[in-house]
Amino acid sequence: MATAVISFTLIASLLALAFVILAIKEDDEPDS
Amino acid sequence: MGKPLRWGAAPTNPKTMVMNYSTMLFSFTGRLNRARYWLAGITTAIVGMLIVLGIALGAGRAHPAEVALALAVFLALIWINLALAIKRLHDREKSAWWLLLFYVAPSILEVIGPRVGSNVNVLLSLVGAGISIWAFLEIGCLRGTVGPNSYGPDPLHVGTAA
Repeated sequence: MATAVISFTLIASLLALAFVILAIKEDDEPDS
Repeated sequence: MGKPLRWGAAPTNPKTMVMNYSTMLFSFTGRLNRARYWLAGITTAIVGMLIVLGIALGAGRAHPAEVALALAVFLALIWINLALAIKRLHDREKSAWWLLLFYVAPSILEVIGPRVGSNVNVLLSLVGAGISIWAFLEIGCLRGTVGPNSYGPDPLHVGTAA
C-alpha cells in the first residue's frame, strides 16, 4: 500500500514537473 | 531556443506596459504569463521558507518579535501567491472569483468530507483533487489569451511587438 502511494505520488509529481517545464518553454517561444 | 528567456525581463516601463517586480508580486490587476508566474512563485516560496526556517532555527525560545516576523512573512507569501494566481487567471480571461472554486472549494470539501458517510467522503475527496488538478493546469500550465483581453495586453507580446 505504502509503495503504491509513494509510486503514485512520484509519478504525479514528475508529470506535474513535466507540464511546468513545457509551459515555461512554450512561453519562451510564444510565436513558434 | 535562440531567443533569451523573457521571464526575467521585468523593467519598469509604463509606455510598454512591461511589468515591474513590485507590480508582479503585489498587484491584483493585469496579466502574467506562465514562466514569470513560476519564476516568481518558486523564488518567493524559497526565500520565504528560508526566512521562516532561519527564525525557527535561530530562536532558542520563541521571541514575540520573531513570531511576529514569521507571521508577517507567511502573510506576505499568501498575498504574493494570491496576486500571482489572480494575474494568471486574468491572463486566461477569467475573473479572480475563480479562486473561490480553485482554492476554497477543495478545502471546504476536505472539511465536510469526514462529517458525512465514508463513501461520500471518498467522492468529495476525488472531486476536490479534480478541482486542484484543474486549478494547477489552468493557473500554471495553460497559455493565456493570445492578444489583448479585457484585463490587459498579452504579456508575451508587450514590449516586443513592432
